[in-house]
Amino acid sequence: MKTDLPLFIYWGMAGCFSIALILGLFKQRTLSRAAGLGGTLVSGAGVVCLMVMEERLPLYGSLESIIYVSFLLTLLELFTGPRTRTGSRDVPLHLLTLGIICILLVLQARRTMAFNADFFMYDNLWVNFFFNLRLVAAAVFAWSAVLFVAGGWAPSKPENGDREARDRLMAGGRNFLLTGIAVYLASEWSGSLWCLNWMGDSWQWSRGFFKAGIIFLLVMAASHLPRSLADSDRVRAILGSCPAVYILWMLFQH
Amino acid sequence: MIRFFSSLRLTFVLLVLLVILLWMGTVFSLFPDLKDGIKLMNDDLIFHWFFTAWQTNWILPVWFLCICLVAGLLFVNTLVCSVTKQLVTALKVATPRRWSFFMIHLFFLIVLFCHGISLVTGHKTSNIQLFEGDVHKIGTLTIEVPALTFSDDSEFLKLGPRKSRELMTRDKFHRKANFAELRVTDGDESAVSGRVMMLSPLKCGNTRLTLTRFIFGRGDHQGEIGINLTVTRNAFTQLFFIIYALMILSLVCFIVMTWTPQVRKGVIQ
Repeated sequence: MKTDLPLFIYWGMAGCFSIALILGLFKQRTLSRAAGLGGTLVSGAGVVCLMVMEERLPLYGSLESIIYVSFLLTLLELFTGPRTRTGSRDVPLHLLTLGIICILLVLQARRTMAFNADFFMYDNLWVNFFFNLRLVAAAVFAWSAVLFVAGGWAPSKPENGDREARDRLMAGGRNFLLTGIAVYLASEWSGSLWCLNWMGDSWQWSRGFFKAGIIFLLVMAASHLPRSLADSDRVRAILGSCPAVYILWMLFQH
Repeated sequence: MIRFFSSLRLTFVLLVLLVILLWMGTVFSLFPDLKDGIKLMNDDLIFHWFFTAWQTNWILPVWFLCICLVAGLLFVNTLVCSVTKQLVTALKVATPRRWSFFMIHLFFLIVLFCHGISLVTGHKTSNIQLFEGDVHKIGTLTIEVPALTFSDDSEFLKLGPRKSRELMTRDKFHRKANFAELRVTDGDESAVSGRVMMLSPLKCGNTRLTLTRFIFGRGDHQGEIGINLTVTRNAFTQLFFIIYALMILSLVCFIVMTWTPQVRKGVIQ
């Protein structure tokens, strides 16, 4: 039972989120929301089970990363998602969030359905901060990408007030991109301290270091766009989504 | 010239170039020869590694030079932009928003400087293998190992990295129960004694003695358990961590202060 639990959580999430996505695509908003909430509860239960069973925070490995990132991403959508003029939640944001989670679940389908093996270094505070905050940053980057994409491809007829809604989505994307990099840098700071205590240097030249550096630079590039590029919302949306795509891809590259 | 070096276009181009160079690093690490070469970059000061590597394989040193060049230009770009634009604007109309924006860039410059200076200054010696009773000298530094305790299963030490990653769990390997007592003397200064364990180095001024792993003895030390030490000396480590933390804090301040978009002439900025 204990070894099968991650598999049950995976299928529970896959069922809820895929049903929510299908219902959302057929414009069954209330039912889609209910199924999505079910997925949030299953992934939340998965995070709690992991913490109880393994006696640690979610840290590493594709399955536990996906469970944790999905849980945080749906919470971000639930509590920070901008509302439309009528007070209802924005439909594209809900569908994009579900879309990202479903892609992650499909990519996980043929991989090991187990929590990451324990390691003696997991008793160290900085190791926990490093890995856990990186996953938190991944969720925040993913939410930022959702906002950017929704903003970049939203209709913008000034007479309907669409331009304002679009600008708010783009500003939200920018805010969460910067929040994501703040969390990510806190993770890297902890990682540097871990590396210093383990290897004697605050960083090591390695594949992991290069990949970590790329994420930081992608966010910096998206935040320092020359005017010719910054004038286009779609270019901003694409470049602002790159850190999310890269960090989510990294979840599978262990 | 100042206009060129303070331009946002240059910042963007340099950042994209750095992304490409780091991506090349991830590709290099797929080739065993280059991967080993990259590992060697960690064993010594980069300064020393560079000249040795140049004689064996030119790819990594050229790639490394390109990284240094682009990072150096980014440093100049950030410095010029911070002084000529951000600081001037912040002094003209002093708002917390403008000052925090300037501070992020200032702290980033210091972090980049610390990275750069650590490549050419200080000291690093890796893979010093010592057993109980050994005495080792590096320059003016003398390291003695009066006692060594390893209370877990020594079979762990014979495993490869992947296997040991799977088997060395918190239940089976007790980090704090395996340690070495060290006595360190630096020249004429009084000796420093202390315990090193994994993730818990011994500090002696700016010098750090880090236990990277336990080793299984061979040859003269057959059957004995020893330690693998890395000795580093870097005067900028503490500054690096403090400024790095301040950079994150100033970024958080900036995010909080700019969370609500400014509306000007009906356009959200």
